[in-house]
Amino acid sequence: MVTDETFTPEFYEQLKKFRLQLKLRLAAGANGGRKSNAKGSSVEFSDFREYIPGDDIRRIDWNAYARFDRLFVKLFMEEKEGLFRIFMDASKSMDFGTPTKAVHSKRLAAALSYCILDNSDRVILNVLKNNKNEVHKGTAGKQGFSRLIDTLSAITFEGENDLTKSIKNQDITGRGMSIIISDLYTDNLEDSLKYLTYKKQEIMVIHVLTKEEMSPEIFETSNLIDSESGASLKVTGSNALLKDYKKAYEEHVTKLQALCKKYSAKYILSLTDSDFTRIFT
Amino acid sequence: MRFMHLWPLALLLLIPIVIIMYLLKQNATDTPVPSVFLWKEMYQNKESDTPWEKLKKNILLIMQIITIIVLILALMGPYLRKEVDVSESVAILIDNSASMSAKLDDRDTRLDKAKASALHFVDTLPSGTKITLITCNKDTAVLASNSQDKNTVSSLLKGISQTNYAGDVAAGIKLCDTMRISDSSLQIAAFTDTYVALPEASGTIYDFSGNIRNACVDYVSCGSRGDEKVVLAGVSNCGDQELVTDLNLYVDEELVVVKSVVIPANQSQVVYFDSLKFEGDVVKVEINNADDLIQDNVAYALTNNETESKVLLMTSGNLFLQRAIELTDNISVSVGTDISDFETLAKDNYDLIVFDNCIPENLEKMLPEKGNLMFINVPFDKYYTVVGELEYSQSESGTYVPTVSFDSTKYTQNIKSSSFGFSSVKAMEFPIWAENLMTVRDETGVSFSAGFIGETDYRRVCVLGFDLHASDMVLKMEFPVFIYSLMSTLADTSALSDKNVFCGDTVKISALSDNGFTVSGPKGLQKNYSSGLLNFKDTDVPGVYVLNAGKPSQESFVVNFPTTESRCTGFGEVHNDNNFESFSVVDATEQGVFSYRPFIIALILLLLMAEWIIFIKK
Repeated sequence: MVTDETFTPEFYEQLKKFRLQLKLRLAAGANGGRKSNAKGSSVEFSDFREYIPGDDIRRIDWNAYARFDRLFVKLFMEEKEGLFRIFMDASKSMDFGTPTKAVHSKRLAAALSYCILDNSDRVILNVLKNNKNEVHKGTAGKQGFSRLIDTLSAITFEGENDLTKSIKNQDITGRGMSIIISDLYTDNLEDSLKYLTYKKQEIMVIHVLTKEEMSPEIFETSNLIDSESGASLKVTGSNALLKDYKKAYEEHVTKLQALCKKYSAKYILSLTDSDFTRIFT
Repeated sequence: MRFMHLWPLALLLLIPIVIIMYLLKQNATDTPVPSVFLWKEMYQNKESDTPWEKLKKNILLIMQIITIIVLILALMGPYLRKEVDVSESVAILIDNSASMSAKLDDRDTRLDKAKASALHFVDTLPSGTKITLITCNKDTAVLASNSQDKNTVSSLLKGISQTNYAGDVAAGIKLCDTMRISDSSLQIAAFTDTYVALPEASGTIYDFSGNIRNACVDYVSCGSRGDEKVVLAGVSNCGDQELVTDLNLYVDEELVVVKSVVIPANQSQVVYFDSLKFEGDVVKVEINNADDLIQDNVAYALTNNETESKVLLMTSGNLFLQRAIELTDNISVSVGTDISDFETLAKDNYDLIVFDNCIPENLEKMLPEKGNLMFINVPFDKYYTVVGELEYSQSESGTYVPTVSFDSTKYTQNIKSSSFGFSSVKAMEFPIWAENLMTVRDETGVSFSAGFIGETDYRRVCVLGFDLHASDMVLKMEFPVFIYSLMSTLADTSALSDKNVFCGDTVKISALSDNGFTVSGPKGLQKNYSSGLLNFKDTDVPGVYVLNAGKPSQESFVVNFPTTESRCTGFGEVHNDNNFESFSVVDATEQGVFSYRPFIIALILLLLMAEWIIFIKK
């Protein structure tokens, strides 16, 4: 198992405390620890139905035939593994703050993956960078966690990224849960949410920010340089300006929350200096 | 509202400079941020702000521009004139005497400020007011009389120049009081630095005395003690603070001695420069430290290197007179007892010939070309006419005793109050060229001259119409004093009536020269005159003046600043003087106007405070 600055021994200690309770029932995918709405061949009885030619005759309930003189087929709850897609924004803007949003995002992704894998589900890691979606094949089982950590450790945060464009870059099949981890400096999140909803995804949006982004401290005339585009914006720092920024920030978060609510997505704001294990509390 | 200066308007150029500076602003430092997305959002939101909020962004710029404008306004010196209560006619008296040359600040003298104040005053007068403009120094001059043209009066006012003469506005006020007889509405506005007590007049005096510091050299005198010279200088401190300074003594403009003096406030001191050995004609004493009235820091005197005067006394015997004449400095007396020897004796060119009770029959032919004359109890028709002899007499109507009364002259000032007995006095007609010394009345009360002195025929002549032997005058102590005063004039053969005068005084010059004579003085003064008598009046500038009537007839005289003017250091308690109640006195050093400047400066401070608060809040 790789241990670097992101995944320290303390991180693994914290993982043990971290438990994710998912309410979803997933339909598709390989057998797993999650109950599926689909009827299958598991041991857990679900219902009866009348035999239709073509049904597996092994599933005919002969006791019922003896009592009712009609052919019934036993239906069992089929157990499927859940499919979780983690969309991680790996643009340059994420490489900011102390600790950086990149480190915090990796830790979140790792913690979430740990719980998912622990629950016999599958994780697909999508690294969004330069308007592309770098998909790392699904990982299942606890053995896969080590591989996932290696993958996460190797991610570099650079370039620009359009969240919607990069998410749409990869076709999504089957139901599942999509978790977006990003600083959400975009005004087209709705397109992303619309797309994922259309693809029958339950959505969780984790908004990663640093404290400096919430409350910047600029008291002189500055050229603000965008870390992704290199664009600059001249501002003269003052209490009034920072007040206006705070107002703009709050409006932005409110807008994001409203958007998530509209598409039944869960919105979570996570500051980089906060304990990632408590994001759901 | 009016403005004192317009030059600060040029500072309006500062406004575009400030705006340009705002545009350029200071160099911004690069600050990397993850994204400018939210910052842009913020500015987009701001674009929907109200116009007032947009304005608020530049409130500091606007306040700075307002501050600059208000500052310029303050520098322009806005003021509001106090209303002038005027009548139909106004007499403006400008004191341009020597004391008005004292500086009230670094730039302006009392006269400058008085003229400026008078210009304001004229400006405020309603159109049609009759304005009389009078300057006052040793003389009173009417520059404009009942003029209704304010521009003319203003230009005349601006043209008034400073003089070094002694004087005040008293004569001007008297003149105005006379003018009131024909124009009872005449209002007086006197701009001066000197208190004048004339309770019968009324008006407004604008006091420009201010608070000056001044010291002056009152007088300088030079004498001899053996081979050594002694110079004496009177120095006064007219200020309220102790004076510590050096006194410089110059001989013919070369520095000879420097002496330190300490003079308490408002006190005078006599300073001696003794044990001096120098050759020169003029001494100058100068106060080293400059003060507000600098002209009186210098005084001049002549060194009195006079030659001995020769006097011929023709008398049958008069020891009293001979001794009295001999008391005079630098005089040698020759006595001729036989009048027939006169023609021989007169060839020795005497400076003064005294005829005591004797006179040659054909004196007119025997008289030398030069030399002064004194006639005691003798007739000489060429110069004067003896009317008769007034003698002691007794008659039925009573006893007549010829009584002589003395006029007020510089020769008789010490004997004026004394009485002498005369048994016989010659009654003479008073000649037009002379100054009367004494008067005698006949029995009917008709006055005649009993003695006079003056200049005629290019020589000084004195006549006494009584026999000294027939009077008790010679027995009294006043006699030698009287003779001494006469000798100081008669034994002096100088062409100048006075050799030490103040600015504005007249010097009588009596010079006989074939080619006329020249008077030169300070500041390049050079004037040529034809031979004869002259009242020289161009004594405007203190300094040394030289009369040149051809070699060796060159004489000097000095003109000093009138030290009475040095003491014009304020009206003091005069403002409350009961004798002055008919005049209202205004401290005019403040221009007599209401200035907005303090209020504008307060406004600037408030603006700066508000700007500071807004800057902090932003």
